[in-house]
Amino acid sequence: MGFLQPIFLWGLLGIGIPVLIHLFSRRKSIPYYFSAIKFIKLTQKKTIRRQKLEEILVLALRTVLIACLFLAVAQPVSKKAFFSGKESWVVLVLDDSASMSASMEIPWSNLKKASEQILATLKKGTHVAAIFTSGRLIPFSTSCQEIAKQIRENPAGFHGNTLQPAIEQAFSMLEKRFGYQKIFIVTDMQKTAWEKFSSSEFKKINPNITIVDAGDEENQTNLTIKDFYPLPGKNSYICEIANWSKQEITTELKITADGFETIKSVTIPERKTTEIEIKIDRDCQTIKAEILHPDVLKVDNIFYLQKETVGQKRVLLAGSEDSSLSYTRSSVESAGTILVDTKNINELYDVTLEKYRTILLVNPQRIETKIRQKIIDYVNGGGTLVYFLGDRIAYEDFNSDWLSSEKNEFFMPVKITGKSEFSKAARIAWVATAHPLFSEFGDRTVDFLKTTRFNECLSVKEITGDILMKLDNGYPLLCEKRRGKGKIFLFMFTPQQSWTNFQTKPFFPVMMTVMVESLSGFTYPTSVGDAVMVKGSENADVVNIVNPQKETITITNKEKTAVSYIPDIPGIWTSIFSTREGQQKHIIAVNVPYLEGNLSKISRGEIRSIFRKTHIGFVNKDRMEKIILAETAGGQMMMFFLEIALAILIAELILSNIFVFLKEKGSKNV
Amino acid sequence: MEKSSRILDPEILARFGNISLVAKTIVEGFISGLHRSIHKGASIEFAEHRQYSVGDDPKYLDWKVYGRTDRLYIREFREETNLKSYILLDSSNSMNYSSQPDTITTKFIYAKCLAICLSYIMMKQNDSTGLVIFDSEIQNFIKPSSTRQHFHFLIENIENTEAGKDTDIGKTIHKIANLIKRRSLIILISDLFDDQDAVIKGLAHFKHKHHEIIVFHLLDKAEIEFPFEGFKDFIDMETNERIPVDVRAIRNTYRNVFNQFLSFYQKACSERDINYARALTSMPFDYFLYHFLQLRSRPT
Repeated sequence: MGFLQPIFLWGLLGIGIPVLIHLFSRRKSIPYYFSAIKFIKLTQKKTIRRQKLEEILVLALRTVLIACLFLAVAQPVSKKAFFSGKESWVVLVLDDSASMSASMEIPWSNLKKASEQILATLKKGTHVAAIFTSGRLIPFSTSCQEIAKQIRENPAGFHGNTLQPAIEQAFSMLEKRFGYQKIFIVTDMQKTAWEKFSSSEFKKINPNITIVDAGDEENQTNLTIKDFYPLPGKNSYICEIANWSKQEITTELKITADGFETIKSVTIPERKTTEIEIKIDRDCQTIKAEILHPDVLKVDNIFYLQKETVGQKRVLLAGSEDSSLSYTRSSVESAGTILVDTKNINELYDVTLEKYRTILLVNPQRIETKIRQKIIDYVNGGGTLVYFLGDRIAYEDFNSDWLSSEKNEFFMPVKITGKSEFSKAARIAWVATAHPLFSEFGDRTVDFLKTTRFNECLSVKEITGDILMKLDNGYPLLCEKRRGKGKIFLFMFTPQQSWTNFQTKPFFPVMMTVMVESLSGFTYPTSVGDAVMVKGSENADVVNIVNPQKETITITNKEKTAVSYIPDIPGIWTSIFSTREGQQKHIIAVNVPYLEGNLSKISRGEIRSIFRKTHIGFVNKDRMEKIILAETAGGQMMMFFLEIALAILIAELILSNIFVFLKEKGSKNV
Repeated sequence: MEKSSRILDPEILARFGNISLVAKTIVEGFISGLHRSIHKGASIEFAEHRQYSVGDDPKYLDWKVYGRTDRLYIREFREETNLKSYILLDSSNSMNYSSQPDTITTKFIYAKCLAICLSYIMMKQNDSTGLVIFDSEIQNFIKPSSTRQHFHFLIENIENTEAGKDTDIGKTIHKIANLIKRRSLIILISDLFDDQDAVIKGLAHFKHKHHEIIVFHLLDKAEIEFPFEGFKDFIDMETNERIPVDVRAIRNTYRNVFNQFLSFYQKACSERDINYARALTSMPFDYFLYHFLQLRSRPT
């Protein structure tokens, strides 16, 4: 048996204190001349034995109490006693979140060092597994060297992870393992990783947990780029910078726009987030904002933004020149990323439809058969048709035109029965909020649309598609239908004043933008660890994903579904795939969640309250070399001595009370 | 008896210097009408008849009554005042104890007052009174006499006696018993804090010599109840021996031991036909004396 804090063993000299008190510090008594001493002597003969026993018992208890306290504080360790005869299961929960890269990756190197020390000193035959908070799992193995190697080769993470999933997994891994169960959590104690922690999952088993604080001191000057986004219609951007430190910081912000660098001096007040407007006098696609402060977390001081350029995504707008066409065009163009080609419906015959992501038909007159067949081929081949029905529609013609004579199959989602004029203006009562078109607005979609009025719309029959929007009088307003590889969105109205005021409401351009951007593959910035879906890759056989380090991962799309991947480092990720329209690129900016910048630490008490009944030990990074000693046996032995000390304390209290009670009882008995 | 006058309270007695005056006041206050001799026995004056029992001297049989009633009766006589009495006053240092010196007299002052009272009563009855003051040795031995000068001499001796040595009652009583030849009334005033068997043997020695014995067992209330608190360094008043004690721890046992001590004397005296009266120094003096004399005056 050894001691981690042998200096405290000097405290064992303290056991002499009760003995000295017993020997020298006699009770302070008052002298009193008394006549019947003879009887006191007789009495003492009877009670002296009990008194001596009582004194010796109390003396012994106090001596053992002091000894136990100092032995506990000295942290005794004994590997032999700890592992004797038991199979041992050890899980290392390793925090590879972005914050571990702070301070020149000192916490990360501390983590590796701690892991190696733990593994190097574990008893031979111990089953060890490792779980990274980013999700990577190294399964149970008795080869500590192999696990150490895998940990050593694991790069520092860029994830904004909470520890809960990894700890839960560690618990579940130990659940059916018999023998000694141990979890080491090596983390920088960053508070955000422990927030919203639910302890309810940790009740099934009661393993011994040790938390190794591998973190550096709290970074006092940490800055984070919280968000970076373009302002619509201008070459202006907003950069939100959070200052987590306790003092105002003036630093430089470097903006790299397609290779051209601009440096701007910024001052961020303490504990505040400041919005800084940046103007770039050129159209650009990839923009990188970087804080040039020497003492910041090196992963979240950079923010990448990938912007679509005008002309990259094209849509075709066809219809008659009226107000509904202009409303629709202005709505689609408001996104600023999509080029809109406007054609007359009759001109479509000469147009190659396949170069457009989406075709928008707004209140067109009857479509000629050849053009109609071209549109059918376009949709079946994977194109998207958005169709606003209006006054120019001849219902019978519509119902017969889109019927395939060969298969007797109707191409459109609905047939039209006529035009319904409402005596009382109708409102939108229901929207399929789960549909990707509306999911961004969620359950509040109907609230956004509550001032929208419809005076008339087309009534329908034989609905073969899905209804996405419905009026309060029951009329369907928008239907969707998949045809071949593409799909059709059919509106039962045209955005004209006499029909509705929908086009004048702010929601209309937003809806159109979302619809067109969604259909045309627009991408938003995402975070490390979040799944990214490569839109438009449904028809691609192979998708090549190029990460910021220019490494290519090839994914074969056998199932012909949208390919998705999880980016693990921040930067610009590009997905390249081929469709019948030619080679497509899906470019996305991946950033570190800004919360990683808050390096404030969680207290040990807060962690203890999370695990409640589970024994938690803490090891500071400064005492790494003694981690294994402390945690294989130290914690338990320390607890053992502390528990004995507590038991003795309680025993002494109880005994004292019993003695007092007996004396009192004796006094009253006469 | 009604509530005693203030002057008879032990508190007053403790403060009052002239014990004999106090004693006189006490005795004068209630003695008239009560002061039949505390002795009973052979005398000239007829007292009463008593049914004969085996062991009685047949010379006291009243044949006239036998002739009339056909039953045997013994004639009893009130003893005359020429009987002798000895007051044995314990002057050991333990008698100097008072648990509350400001309000309660010491056992020794109480004892002196008691001795003077008894002397006064007996002087009034023309009884001869002697005095023996003792501790571990006989300090003073005054032969009995019934003269007034003798009484004053007696009072003077009592008043001038101081307690202050250790005790050996058993041994001393034997010595006294050897000195007193004629059958007498022996009045022992003491706290009896000595070897119990030795004391009883000493008293038995007196009894053996046909003396009548009265034991006034003087105690302080604190000696019985042991009402102290906390830790006390008890110092023996006679030997100066120190005994540190946690009072609460031993109180119960002390009381039991002391009760055994009291029971022992009560029982032993009863068995040996010795009059035993326990007096607490907190008791009003006249109250105690009155009740004792009343008890004594009852026909046996």
